[in-house]
Amino acid sequence: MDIYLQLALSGLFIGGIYALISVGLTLVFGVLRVVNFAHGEYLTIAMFMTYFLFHTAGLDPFLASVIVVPLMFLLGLVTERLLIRPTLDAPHVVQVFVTFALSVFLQNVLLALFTSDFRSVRTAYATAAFQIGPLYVSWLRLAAFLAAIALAVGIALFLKYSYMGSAIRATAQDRRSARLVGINVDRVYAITFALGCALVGAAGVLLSPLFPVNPYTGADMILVAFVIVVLGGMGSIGGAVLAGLMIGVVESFSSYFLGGEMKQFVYFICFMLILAIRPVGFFGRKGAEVMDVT
Amino acid sequence: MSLSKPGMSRRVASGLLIGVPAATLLSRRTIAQEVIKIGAIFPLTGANSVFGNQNFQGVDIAVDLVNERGGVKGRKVALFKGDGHNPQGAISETNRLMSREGVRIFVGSSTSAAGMVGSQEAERNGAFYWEGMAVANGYSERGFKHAFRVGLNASGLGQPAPLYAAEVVAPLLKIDPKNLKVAVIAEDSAFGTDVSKAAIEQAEKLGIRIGLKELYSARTTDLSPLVLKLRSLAPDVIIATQFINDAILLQRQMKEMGFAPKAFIGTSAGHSTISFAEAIGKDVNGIFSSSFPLEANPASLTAATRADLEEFTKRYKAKYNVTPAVQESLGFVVGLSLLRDIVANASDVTAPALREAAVKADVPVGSYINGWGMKLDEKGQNQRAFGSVVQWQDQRMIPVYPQASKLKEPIMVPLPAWNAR
Amino acid sequence: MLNVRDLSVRYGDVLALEKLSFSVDAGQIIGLVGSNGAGKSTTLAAISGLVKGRTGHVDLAGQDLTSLAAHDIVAQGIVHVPEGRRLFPFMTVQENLELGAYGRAARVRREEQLDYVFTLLPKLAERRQQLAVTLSGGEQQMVAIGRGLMSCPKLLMLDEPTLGLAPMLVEEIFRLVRAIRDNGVPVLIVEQQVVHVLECADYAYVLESGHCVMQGNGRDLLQDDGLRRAYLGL
Repeated sequence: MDIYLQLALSGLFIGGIYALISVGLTLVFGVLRVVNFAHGEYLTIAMFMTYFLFHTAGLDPFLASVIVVPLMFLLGLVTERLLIRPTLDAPHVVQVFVTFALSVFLQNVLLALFTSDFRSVRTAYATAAFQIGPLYVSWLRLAAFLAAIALAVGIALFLKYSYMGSAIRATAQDRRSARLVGINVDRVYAITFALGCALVGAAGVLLSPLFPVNPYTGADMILVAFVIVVLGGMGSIGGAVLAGLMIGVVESFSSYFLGGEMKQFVYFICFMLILAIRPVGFFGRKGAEVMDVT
Repeated sequence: MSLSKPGMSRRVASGLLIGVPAATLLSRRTIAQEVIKIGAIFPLTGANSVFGNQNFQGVDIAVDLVNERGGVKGRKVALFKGDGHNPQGAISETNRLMSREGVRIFVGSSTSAAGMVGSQEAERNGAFYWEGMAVANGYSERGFKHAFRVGLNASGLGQPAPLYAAEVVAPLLKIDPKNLKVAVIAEDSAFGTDVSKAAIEQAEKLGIRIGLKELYSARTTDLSPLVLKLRSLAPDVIIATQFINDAILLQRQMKEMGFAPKAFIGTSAGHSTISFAEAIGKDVNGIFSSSFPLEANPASLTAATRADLEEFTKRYKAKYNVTPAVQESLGFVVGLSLLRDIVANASDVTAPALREAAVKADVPVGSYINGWGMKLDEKGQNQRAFGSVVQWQDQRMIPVYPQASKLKEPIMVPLPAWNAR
Repeated sequence: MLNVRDLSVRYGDVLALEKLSFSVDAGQIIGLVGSNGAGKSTTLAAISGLVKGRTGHVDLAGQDLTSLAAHDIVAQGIVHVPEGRRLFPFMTVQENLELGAYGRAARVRREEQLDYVFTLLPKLAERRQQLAVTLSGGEQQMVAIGRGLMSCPKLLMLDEPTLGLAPMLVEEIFRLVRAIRDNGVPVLIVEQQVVHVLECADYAYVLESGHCVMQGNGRDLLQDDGLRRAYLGL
């Protein structure tokens, strides 16, 4: 019994981080209808920023978030203005090409700047853990999980209750109508894209003390985020959180009972089964047209 | 599954971005007729690029050194980069270098995935392939005429760990090797599966029982299920074949869950890297890593080789600004063995002539900076390459096995508690 | 108050609207009628800033709107209720209405306007927590108009508000249009229900392939034989 609890706990913890990475991706897709293939590289960039703040200024990763997350937001604004906005009316294949090219470009820039060495943020509390009965709980993973869930809930509340949030939802549901009620849709796009980057930036900060980073770290992690976005329903934040946690738990159990090399296989099986039963994902709606924050 | 495709073509694209300009640059610099062209197939981008670049840079220094000493029989050597970041990349880059640059001699490859296909393309086109790092046993089992391996095969890399466990660790633990409880874990690529298989076979020969054998993906973000399994088995020794990030993750998660074996022996490639030590700090102390030899005991080297070692270290630091470690010195050995002991002794630079020189080569142990010599068997495998075991002591790698290259006695057996290392 | 001069719109090679000029004054209902493709909806979209490639001049009470973006035009007081309602389907009635008052100026008076819309359209008050997508066509049209009113517009533009509605509802929509005018907001309405719109319009323009072919008082136009033949089949 203990083992089940421990596995579930580990799965939920990592699932929370998956969810946070996916929330940004699904938000951008839901509003701009752009699949951002460079999302993983933004994760990598945030991890590098955290690493350098830690190593040069001695800044704790959790404190570094105060700098990294706004910088990522800014980077998102710039990217949107320079690369995404000019292609918004272009065919989908052009947008795919643009974000894909951006991903390759960023990887190579990072490679040129930092080589492919792995770099680690090593904090004193990196491996601190406490025990509840038979369960081992890593402080860091617990904190990362809580922060990830808090951010996901925060973003859902922001979308539901703020002016900008309702403008974002309105734009996702009908961009023409959004214009007609006086929403500056270009601004909504910019802010949404920047928010997506800030969220993945936050995920990067939280991951930094857990994983070493090199220019390909984000690319390696982003596959699972794409699975989660589709599984949760393209554009659905609640769906992304649920699917993220689910994938985390499925991975954890399958690597224990079937072996670690089977876990991707198992979650792809789940993925295909769920999509066969519910093609739009957990909370997706017909044609992936709608963003929902429930 | 189609989701994995973007990643693949992304790597191809990035390979082109990096590989092409570098190669053209070199080709312009060395247009002289008599230049000997060497193609270097390494993963220069992507997940394995850490090793790829370190290996390549080692080869690069060897080429520099040979050129400065007057080249090979008066001819300069030019190195052409090919990015073998995945099998497709290795195939296309090998072919590109052959058709576009006229390369007929290759070195490689850091990963078995690249080495297996790169050598196949070369063989098909009658070119010569000199492997140094890829360890897949299958490399030398294909009956190729012009593919040789100066480095270790998987057996060579996997065998020292159980040998060391039986010969040194078990006595220190005061356990009969036959009663030693061993868990073997490995990442699930060809590297991990082959090396761990070799380790298991060797262990079984020694009568050691394997309590757990477990594979996992190196890209994993959470190894706690594996740690739980290990904890419930409570092995005396863990033998692990891992890359860097997963090696780091495992140590951190074992610590989180308050679990440690009595001894931990990595079989590379992650455990002998500086990144690994930097990531876990003092927790690295006491961990063994069997791998390609780090440094040879100077007493076992010839005088000329000692000079090479000094020269290599000096040049590497000057060119790349870091102290070379295992993979860099391996690259140097691979480059130097090819140029000094094969190409220079061949009647010309065609594959058959190089083969003749390779079969004839008889280089005594201690002739290369890592202590190796060279005698290639009929399958093309070097019989004078051997693995070694290092231990992290005071956050530095110290050779402890085999006897010839041993610098210090092993410490921390059994491993102390996590905070006492 | 709204002045449109020489408004032209080009979609690629096609001239959808050519040099249209008209005006809307305070207290008026102005009708735009014509067959499909005559350029009626294009006219509204050009005024509200939704289409690119427009030329000509548009001003509201002397304020030049020609080069403004759609959201700025809303802020200036022109609200366009599009054809097919185009509500935000997965938001509640109340959220849809509140978004109508998104502009900075309108936000301040949001609660007040919400009360006004609910008095004007009491049925919506009962459905305020219902998702827009679950409403009937007539109710959706009410929400669409209500959403338009939320920003305290100086001019309301309705595109085919009765499309697909049952006759009883059509009557209701036109009663609502008159009520809006009587409460001080002029209405520019595009309709295929020619008789209804001409009966209710103070002045109307008849469009044909992007040109204005006839104009006049609604009731006078209804008496015109040419128009009766062309649009009413009489």
